[in-house]
Amino acid sequence: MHSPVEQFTIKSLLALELFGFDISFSNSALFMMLSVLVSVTYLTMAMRRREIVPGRLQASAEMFYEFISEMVKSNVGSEGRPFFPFIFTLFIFLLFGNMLGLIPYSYTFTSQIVVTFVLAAFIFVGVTLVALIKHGMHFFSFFVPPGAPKVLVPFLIIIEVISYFVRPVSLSVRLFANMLAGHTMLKVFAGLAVMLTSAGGVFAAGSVLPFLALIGLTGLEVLVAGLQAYVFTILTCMYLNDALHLH
Amino acid sequence: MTDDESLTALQQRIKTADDARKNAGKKADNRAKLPAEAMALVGRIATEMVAGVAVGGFIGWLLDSWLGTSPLLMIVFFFLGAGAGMMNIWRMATGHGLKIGYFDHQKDTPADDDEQDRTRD
Repeated sequence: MHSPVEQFTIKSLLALELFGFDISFSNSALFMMLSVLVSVTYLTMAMRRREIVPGRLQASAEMFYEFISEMVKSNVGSEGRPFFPFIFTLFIFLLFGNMLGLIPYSYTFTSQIVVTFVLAAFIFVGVTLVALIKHGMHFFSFFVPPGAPKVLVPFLIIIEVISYFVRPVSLSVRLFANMLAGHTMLKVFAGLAVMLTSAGGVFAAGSVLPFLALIGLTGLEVLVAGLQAYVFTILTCMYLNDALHLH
Repeated sequence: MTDDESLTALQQRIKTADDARKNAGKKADNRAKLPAEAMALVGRIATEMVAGVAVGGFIGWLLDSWLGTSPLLMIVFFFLGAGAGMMNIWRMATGHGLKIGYFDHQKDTPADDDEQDRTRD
């Protein structure tokens, strides 16, 4: 019997070393590349014919485009337009990563905090740089809540700074925890079904229950995979909006 | 019908079509987004609370190991972090999004900016 968390083990597929650092090509890296490869292939194939009345494939690709375009427009406004390619890439990368992870025997790279935290950290640094470039030193006024009593201001600045630094953490933890918990739960229910079947007799008949639950949970995980990619992207949009229009 | 009249009529028709399209989009969006956004909000509240405390504690621990005041600052920042987390949740729940500060954000939502841009054009 495999442990429910065994699916998260990083396996080195091709041992590599650079300046004493282990940069082995792992199953996590393989699925990141697959996510990129599958999404690029899908979008290229879908947009190959460019018909005015789109076919099914083209319509689905256009749906993704319009979904993100609308998200950027309603959350960031017209100034967010230059960032659209980045936001779109981020969403598609995460969505395909999450979805590919649901295929049996595959690996979910978003279930590793390192992966999600690096993504979130880059977004955090990037968004802060955008704000600094656009507003200069005025950016720091962001941390001074206007209209607060003078006595409380230093105290509130600390809280605001902490709540600013919470952003990359909550952004990455949310995605990672959802994927980790979901995949562990699927494995626990699957394991239960297998155990009951191998116990035989009445227990084998009872294994139908966890199996039914597993079907439902798989559906739920598909929803979570899409939803968490969406949440990650929409929060990036919100942070970007804050950076572009301070207050 | 003069050219001017037909142009005005055309403009009117474009405007009506444009408005209809915009409103249709809004309605469809609301319907599609509601359950997913509610679920997303629940998840965000939970993580925001944990992340606030964790980040606060970590900053306190860093300052402690730098200033050698262990464990005083860690305790102080633990509670400040909890406060920051709570404030984030409050802002989220009251529809202020993640903006820092306490304004009436109804006035300057980006959607409105966009709307103004369009009318200015």
